[in-house]
Amino acid sequence: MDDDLRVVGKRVAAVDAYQKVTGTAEYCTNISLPGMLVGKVLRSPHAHARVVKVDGSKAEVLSGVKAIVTHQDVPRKVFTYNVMTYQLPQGELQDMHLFDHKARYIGDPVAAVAAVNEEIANEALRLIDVEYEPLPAVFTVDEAVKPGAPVVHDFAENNTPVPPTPVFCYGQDVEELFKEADAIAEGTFSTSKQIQAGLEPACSVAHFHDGRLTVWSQIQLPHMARKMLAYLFDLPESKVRLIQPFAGTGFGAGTDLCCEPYACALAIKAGAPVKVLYSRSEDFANRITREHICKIEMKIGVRKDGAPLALKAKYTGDAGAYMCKAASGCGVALASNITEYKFESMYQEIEAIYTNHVACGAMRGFGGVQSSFARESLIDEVCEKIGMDPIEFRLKYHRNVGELGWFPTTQISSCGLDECLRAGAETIGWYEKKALPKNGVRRRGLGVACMAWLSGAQPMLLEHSNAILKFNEDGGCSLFVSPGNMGQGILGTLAQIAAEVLGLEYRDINLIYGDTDLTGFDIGTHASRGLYCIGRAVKKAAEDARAQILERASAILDAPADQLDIKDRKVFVKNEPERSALLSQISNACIYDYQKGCRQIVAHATVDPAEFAPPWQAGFAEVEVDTQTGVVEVIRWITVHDVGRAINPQVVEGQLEGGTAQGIGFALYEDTQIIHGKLLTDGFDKYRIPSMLDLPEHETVLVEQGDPTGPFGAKSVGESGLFLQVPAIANAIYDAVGVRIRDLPMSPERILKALKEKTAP
Amino acid sequence: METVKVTFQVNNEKTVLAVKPNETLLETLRERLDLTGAKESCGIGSCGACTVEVNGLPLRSCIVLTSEMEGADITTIEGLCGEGKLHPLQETFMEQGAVQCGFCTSGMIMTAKNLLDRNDEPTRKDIVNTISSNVCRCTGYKKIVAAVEKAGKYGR
Repeated sequence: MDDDLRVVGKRVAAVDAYQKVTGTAEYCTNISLPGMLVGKVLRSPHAHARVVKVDGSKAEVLSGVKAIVTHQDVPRKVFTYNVMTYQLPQGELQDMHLFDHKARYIGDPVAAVAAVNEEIANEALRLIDVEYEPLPAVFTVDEAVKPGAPVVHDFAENNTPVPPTPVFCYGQDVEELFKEADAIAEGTFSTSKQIQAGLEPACSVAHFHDGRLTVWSQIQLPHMARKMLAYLFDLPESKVRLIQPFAGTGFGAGTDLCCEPYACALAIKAGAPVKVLYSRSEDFANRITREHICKIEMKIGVRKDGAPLALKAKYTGDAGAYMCKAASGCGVALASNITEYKFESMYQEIEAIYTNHVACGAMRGFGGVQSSFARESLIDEVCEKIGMDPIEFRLKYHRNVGELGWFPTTQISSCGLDECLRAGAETIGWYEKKALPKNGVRRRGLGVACMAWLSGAQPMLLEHSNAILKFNEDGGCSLFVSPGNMGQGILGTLAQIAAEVLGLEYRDINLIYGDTDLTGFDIGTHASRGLYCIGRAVKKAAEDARAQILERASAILDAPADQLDIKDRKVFVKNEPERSALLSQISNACIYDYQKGCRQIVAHATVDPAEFAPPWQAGFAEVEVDTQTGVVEVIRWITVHDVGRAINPQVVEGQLEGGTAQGIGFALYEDTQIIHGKLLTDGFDKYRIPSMLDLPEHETVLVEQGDPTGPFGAKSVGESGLFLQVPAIANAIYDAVGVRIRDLPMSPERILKALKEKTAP
Repeated sequence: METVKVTFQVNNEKTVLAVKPNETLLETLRERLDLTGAKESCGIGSCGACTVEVNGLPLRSCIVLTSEMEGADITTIEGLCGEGKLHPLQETFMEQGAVQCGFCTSGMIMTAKNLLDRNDEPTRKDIVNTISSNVCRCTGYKKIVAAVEKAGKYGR
């Protein structure tokens, strides 16, 4: 690794931190425009009903009501909240209408109103007369596929838009290999529908003026959101401007549209700006949640020396009422298995089924979190059967550089997992603690789990990024980029990359972001792509700008460009550092020196990476299980993560530490309680996310061996923080008390039930 | 709806307002006084994002009525930096990487400020016990605790 870096690798404060600690940062929920109206959505109280009539005439005449929109007011177009549809050549299934003739979940929008204040808007909602014809509803995938089950969408036979479909299979017949196996482990796992639960409720502001639609949004994928809104309202993309203020939410929630279409429909009809802000319960119940892989059936077989033979799995997604990300969540779940271990053969299927639940979107660790739970639990089980230490198994059989990656045609470009496993085992005292006897009411156990993930979903998905750099006459520059900005630290990290290449300080880079009118196209932020994909574009643009600077400096300093270097805002001759010119002098000449020719230094780079640069991680949990109450306490959590290179170690740790909290919550108590289609856990008082008191001592260790394809060797870590708590805690519970928990969350009730079954004669 | 006249101090400025009896302090601060540092997240006093200081106590402004603020002395995050100088907590939150999305930050800092005002040598346990009343979804809290610890030392 290149160690004479000046900016990359340094712990610098996030560029947006000043605004946030002084309370001046702008969020969607803060936006206030002159004449702005309050928009509200009227939602179906029925899980399944035909909408026979929507009559807004009484509401329309209420003083202060400025617009009512129903299905009659918007172009009837099939669409999807899932704007990632544009990243696939064949697209994703589109099955939504802005206001449909049928409501398919409790909360499905039927109409919307805009009024001068909230009270009047709420009153108008009450005055809209909707006639429903309630229909029988279906709430489980098992019920949904039975003959005679209520039909959620007419086009989907058996409520099964994605019938069992094999994806990414390789090798020979897995059934034949299972016959050769010395040990087999199999099981059915279920996971809950985690809520992203960002603190800022869903909010969007729209304004239609002079033929242009401007939308303030919390979206993570701004350009594709613009494309979908342009399509929905019959506008060219160039007439739609999407602005992203800071978002107090994300974690995948911003990879789907939410209130934007309703704000736009109202703003267009009212001819005034409209803000749609969901209440907390409305946000939890209607913002689409984590992809809900409700069932994973998995089987693995190994030889007696541990050699992995075959893995067979089926992922069933409860899509809810609309497809959104149900199928892609299952698909990514199985793909993530391929990178991890050297299985000779793999056969995996996905299936997605409609029910009358709210649809599923995406949350951090999309699909991979769920498949890691199943795979890493079963690995632990076969290790016990063949008498092999789970760390030894992983050291011996994980894939390595040059081997098959997550998607056919991809290769693993770097792998630091050995170091992760060894460092983690030593830090937690694996071998010593494993040897301790288990007895008493409260028993301790250790668990380990591993993952390989990705730095963007290329080459399966389009991951196109652009970066533009523009130098001013004083030698400072502006960097135009378009990530989803939800506080993950990407802006400063990109500035560090540019500053390193250009011999500038990190604060010299003025960031321009969050506005589709100003920046080049970018997919945005999902699948841990930001640092790797946008970072590569920034590095390439900075290298181009640097070449332009050196070329100009070559004339000024009378030395060949290849003998020049830039440092501390100065260009100098490498072996004669005193022969130098200030960067400000050079960039000023580029703008004002008409005698020698004006050409402002502006650089642009486009990337669409083919490599996927997997980050690797080993997670270690020490838990204490109370055998009388079933309560699991995580005593210690250690993650050792191969990040390639930490551009800003503080930001990387922050991502992993935050993920740890979400992972522990997902493992032990975050649960969406839904009864007859109604979400009961619709507030922070009912849906428990970890508080400071709930978290154990947790440590993050970074392994930096560099990835040859990443910017300065970096790989992305946006999602991996919450990958391994679930399987490592499950394995630690087994180590402590000898029960395998296969359903999330691993609640005291489930632990006690498993303990009781274990001791039953 | 009838209104109630209330006189109080916000960030050392005398403020006189006619408010509806059901108007919350958070609504008043955000919508009338343009002080949007305090945030609404849960709306029921359970998350702490709306915390401001009222008469020396950290209060959840989303469940406090403005009509009850007669004579009160209120400090919000905007009132924390005097003469352009940041409060030590604002400095350490930036320096320690305790800020991610930032939506909980104002409330966290106001809660922590109150702790440091009362206890200039808080232990780690004091810090965790006090600010565990506020939730954060991004950081895993580790860097927030470190920032408060460091600010405590700064103050001394």
